[in-house]
Amino acid sequence: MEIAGKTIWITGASSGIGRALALALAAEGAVLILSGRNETALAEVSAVCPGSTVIAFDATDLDALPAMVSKAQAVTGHIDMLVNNAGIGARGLARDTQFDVYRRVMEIDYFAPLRLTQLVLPAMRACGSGHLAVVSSISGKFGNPGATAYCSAKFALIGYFDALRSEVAHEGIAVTVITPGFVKTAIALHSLDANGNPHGAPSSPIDRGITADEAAQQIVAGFRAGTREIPVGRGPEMAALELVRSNPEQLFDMMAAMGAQMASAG
Amino acid sequence: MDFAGKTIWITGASSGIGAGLATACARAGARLILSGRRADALAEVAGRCQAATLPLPFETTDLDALPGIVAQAEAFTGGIDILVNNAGISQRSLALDTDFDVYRRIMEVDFFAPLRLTQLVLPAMVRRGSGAIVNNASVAGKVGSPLRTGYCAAKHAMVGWSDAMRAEIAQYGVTVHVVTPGFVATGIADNALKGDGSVNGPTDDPVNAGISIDEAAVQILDALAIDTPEIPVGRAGGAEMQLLELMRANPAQLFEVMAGMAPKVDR
Repeated sequence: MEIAGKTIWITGASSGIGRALALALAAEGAVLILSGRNETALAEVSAVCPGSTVIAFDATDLDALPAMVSKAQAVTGHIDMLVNNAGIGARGLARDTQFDVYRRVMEIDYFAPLRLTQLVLPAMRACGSGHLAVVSSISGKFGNPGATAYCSAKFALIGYFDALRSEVAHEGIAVTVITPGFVKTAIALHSLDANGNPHGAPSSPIDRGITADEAAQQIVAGFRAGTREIPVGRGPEMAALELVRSNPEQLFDMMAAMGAQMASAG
Repeated sequence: MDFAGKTIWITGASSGIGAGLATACARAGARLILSGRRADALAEVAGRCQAATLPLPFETTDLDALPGIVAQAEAFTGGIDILVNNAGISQRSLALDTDFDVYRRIMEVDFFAPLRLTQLVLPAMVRRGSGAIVNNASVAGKVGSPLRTGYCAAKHAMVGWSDAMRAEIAQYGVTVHVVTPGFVATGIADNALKGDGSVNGPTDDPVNAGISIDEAAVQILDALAIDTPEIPVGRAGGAEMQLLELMRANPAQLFEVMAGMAPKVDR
């Protein structure tokens, strides 16, 4: 798809992959609407994205979303593309994880982007074109230990968007599912632990991941090529995406070995 | 996995695949706890099971009541060997016509309820060092399918949770199995939710021409007997079963096939 001149709305744009994607799309000439909770950080991103607009909101305040959508649509008259990028990580063994943590992660990582998409969709349909992108994760493609809540929500996102793609393709609306592996962002720091508190510690695999800028380049290349699934990363974790398709039982064994290691590490 | 003498707890046992599983497990010599919302239908299924059977009706989404229900189930024989999370609800509506609350309801029934029940049953299995969690998902838990955005989301969530949990608890001797039925002749399409949350009602949905519940139950037990983690259930070579293969072999082509299946509605 063509990016120059398109109105693109990015959630979770204040940091990480969202921020890098904003910069990359701005460089391609997109007109950006930047959303997230942190207005100050969004303003800083906006300052380096010419012509961009900030609309700060809490994605889980679902009652407020219709007004936010109207605001966003008023910027240029329409939304060409919505990038559902905002999300939260969660780390903790299932045996330790409070039930409410599953609810919170599902709320932020599934229900919030679903509701926003629901509200943006009718106008795209009315003009017979549009593009919905969603940042899931490799954890939306294969289950891994210490991530039952995160995998559930990221799988749910993919189930919804794959089903949606089948329904709206004939309306001229494209759906792209992005599955990052390890990308050097603050996701581990902000992840919820088993009790729902911020994890507060870095993750070494994530810190060894590709930069957010490189992730953004891979995503933009995927948008340009019109790919429906965009895996993002280049570490060994990306091989698991292939293995879950070619030999799921072998992948399950590998993941169980990781799970045993995790449990003995406490 | 052996079923003789095992205590097997099946949710959604009053009809469909759950009822088929109940009678098949009884024939295999298991002791059964049969759950569902309708006490009379459970009693009827229990009557067809030549086995020690405890009908235990409850509303799976009443999460606060679950600890008491689990205690009753565990008291039946002293422990649960196999939990079959089978209760669920489907959907038949385009995303553009589906109320947001329908997505919440489906996620509640198809994901949060079995998750919470499993959370309560699992610790005893881990302590004992044996047990099995059998989660009945769907082909829709692997393949995004039209008219089922909310159902696909919830069933995908179930698969993601199950696969992650399997990786954590294999070391304790507790296994996790994901069942992905295609078309099985049950009331699932008739009982599915429409976009406004009302019940679909009688239809000529392709699931009605699927395999019988008894055949589905045999396929599931045969696969569990050899400890298969992923259990597809349906007519061999059936169109919906081929989608599972295509999703693995060539997702881009699968997406084309699914888009071709979507109803085109003028608005």
